[in-house]
Amino acid sequence: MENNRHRNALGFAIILLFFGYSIWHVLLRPAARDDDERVTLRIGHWLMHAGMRESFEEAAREYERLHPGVRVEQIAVPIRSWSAWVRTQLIGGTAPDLTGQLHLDEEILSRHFIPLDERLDLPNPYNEGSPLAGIPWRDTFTDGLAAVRNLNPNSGELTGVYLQLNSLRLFYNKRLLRLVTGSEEPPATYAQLRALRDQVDRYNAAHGTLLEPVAGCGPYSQYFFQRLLPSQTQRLAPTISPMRNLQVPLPDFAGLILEGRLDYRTPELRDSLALLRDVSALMSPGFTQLRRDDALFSFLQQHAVAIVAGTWDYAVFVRDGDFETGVIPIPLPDRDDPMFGHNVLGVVAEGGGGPEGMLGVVRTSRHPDLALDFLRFLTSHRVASRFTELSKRISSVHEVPAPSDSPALAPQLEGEAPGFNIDFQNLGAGHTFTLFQRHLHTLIGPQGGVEPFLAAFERDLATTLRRDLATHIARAERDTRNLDARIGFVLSLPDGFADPEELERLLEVRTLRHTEHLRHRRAVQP
Amino acid sequence: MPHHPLRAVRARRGLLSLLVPLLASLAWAEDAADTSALPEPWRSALRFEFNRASEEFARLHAEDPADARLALGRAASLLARQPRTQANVLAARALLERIATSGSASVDQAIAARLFLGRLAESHLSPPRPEEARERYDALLRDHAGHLLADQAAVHLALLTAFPGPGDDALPPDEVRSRIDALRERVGTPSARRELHALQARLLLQRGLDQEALPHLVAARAVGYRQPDHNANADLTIGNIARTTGDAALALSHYRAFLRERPRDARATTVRRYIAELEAAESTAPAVASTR
Repeated sequence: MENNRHRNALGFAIILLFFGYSIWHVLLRPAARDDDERVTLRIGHWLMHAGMRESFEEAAREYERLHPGVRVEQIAVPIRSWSAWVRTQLIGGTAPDLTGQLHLDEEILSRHFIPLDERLDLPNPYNEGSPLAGIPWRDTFTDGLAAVRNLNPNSGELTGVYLQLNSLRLFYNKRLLRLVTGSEEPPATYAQLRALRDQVDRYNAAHGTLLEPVAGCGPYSQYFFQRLLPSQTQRLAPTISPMRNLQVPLPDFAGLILEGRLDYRTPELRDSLALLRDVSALMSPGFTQLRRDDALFSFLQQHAVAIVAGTWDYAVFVRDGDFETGVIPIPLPDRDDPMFGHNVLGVVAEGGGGPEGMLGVVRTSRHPDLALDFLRFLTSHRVASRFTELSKRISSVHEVPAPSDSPALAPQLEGEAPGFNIDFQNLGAGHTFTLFQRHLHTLIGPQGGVEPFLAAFERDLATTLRRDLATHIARAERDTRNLDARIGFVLSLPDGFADPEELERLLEVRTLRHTEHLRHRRAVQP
Repeated sequence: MPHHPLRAVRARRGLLSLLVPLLASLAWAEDAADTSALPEPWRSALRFEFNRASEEFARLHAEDPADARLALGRAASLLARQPRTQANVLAARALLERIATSGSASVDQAIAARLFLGRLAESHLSPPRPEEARERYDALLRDHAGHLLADQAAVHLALLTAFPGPGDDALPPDEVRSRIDALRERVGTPSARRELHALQARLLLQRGLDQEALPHLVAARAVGYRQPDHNANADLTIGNIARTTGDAALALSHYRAFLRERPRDARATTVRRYIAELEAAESTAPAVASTR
């Protein structure tokens, strides 16, 4: 009884303590802020990699100097908590004025973020005196923000802009490379990269070390394979591209397999598997079970000569690595590659890179005008250049050079069109991708091989492809129905709000999504 | 009364530096591109807040049942609100039937309602009723061909013809082709013509008839798309087919259009190579001719 009373008292005390803290947090802290009579502009993001918070901090302080009545406060949230945090803030109406848009879908973006379309047609005033002066803000981004618009196919709105572009690179430890190969010259081709395995083995045997050629982990190896394997379908893609545009969309690839017009015995697909097996030899056994931090730790601890990682990781290597880091584009098989060159058209272009650091102005912001102004400031040529130097990342803004110490981080725009990947990542609900991953161990490793993998993978392939296609067409059908409703809303708008162009756009998108639904539905049937 | 920092700053300091960005974008939050400028319930509806919009449309519609515009909005909200139920779809259908047949609705509203009735039969009712949809689309097109929404009925008819359901018999490809051509003859709006040309092209490409698909692709592209990247992709498709079928001039013009639109695309270098090859072939052709 006595113990129970003590436990209850302790429980109440803890609750009271937290309640008191909450009161202080909600009531007193904002009051303290208001005392300095400045407007507080808050920016919430997940970008906690090395250099990012520092970059935001420096930009914020400079903006405050330009606008003494404004205080900029950044709220950096760990990426693991980001999804839950941002949704809670948006729904609760407490999201920062500028909020990151990672993991947010179109409905949330449209509901909680102000469209920027009209403002993007105007020049960014902070670009005065730069090479981008007078250019519409939208056109100061490398892809004209097409990546943002693609996120909102139904509403067609531009609800944010992004700060950076991500790519994949091979980072190497110059000291270790010199020890192992006798030179700091990094591998220029896939064949040279592949030779690193034997060179490291010889070095380990001679020196009793346990070096690995490349530090690998589950997620980064996926990125690695996705960059590498399209080299093998480069020649095939134009010949089977349904719209003759050098691309083979995943649902069409699935359809070709289900119709029996293509299979994994096709030489190019088989060679893709062989290449995946071959490159896996560069990483330690069991790499698929490791996480990003494991791989980074291994590289930073100098247990691996190189690592395939994102351009977003470079600042970590510079800051935490006790060695000089070199950086090169991923060495891909070229046409002269003795094993994989016959499928190659040329070095595969990587396009402009993936958008990163997407930010928008929330509808609940008390200072949407200031938030917009700060966003323009952040994406101006001068601030973006400084951001790039500090964060060691590639800017999304035109004419902003790569960090001065690592020009190799810049996207590799020159190169032949890539082929397609063969693991069906991102198709439907991911059943086929899971199947691929589940049997990957039969492909890689000393005991693995293409035949054992195919024997296991092809057993359930048709079933998982149909399930993924069913999800794909169900999404298209749902979009079509929602677009029907949206068209109804636009048709019913009061006088003075009619928007014929928007109506035409919606009709076009509906036909597109409806076609996507209809043309694959037969393939779902066994 | 919550303290408003911006008001405080303006009142006490009037800082010019703060006013510069403020003046530059004073009325931004109310701009037309933003749905905040819209009245309710359209504002909620276009922000994907369907249930809230649905309730407001229901209230407004109850106040003025004869207003066809509100009835259409109410029907649309019933299609979008969650959970999606057959009862809501049927209620939407009843509203649309009334709009289509009532004398108080405008011609445009009646046409919209009739198109929606076809869409409900095709995609919203469970199980779908493709035959009813066909009949409704056909009747709408017969009565109002040339109207933007009626012409959409032709697009839906063509899609139903091109992609029959899993249990339906597929028509012979040439029959599908002639039906889509016939539908295209009936429409008057560029967007419907574009969709019918694009569909015909897709079906011909599926059959490997690239040369025959080419004029349809060119016609669709001439109308143009509003979605990002679609024009560029169409240019690349036309360029590739024209190149392989020997129309170098057409290929070059569409390849160049693709590069203007997508200079950083991962396919841009390949396209530049195609252009260089075509230009080299063009420059050697007259030389060869002149030596003859």
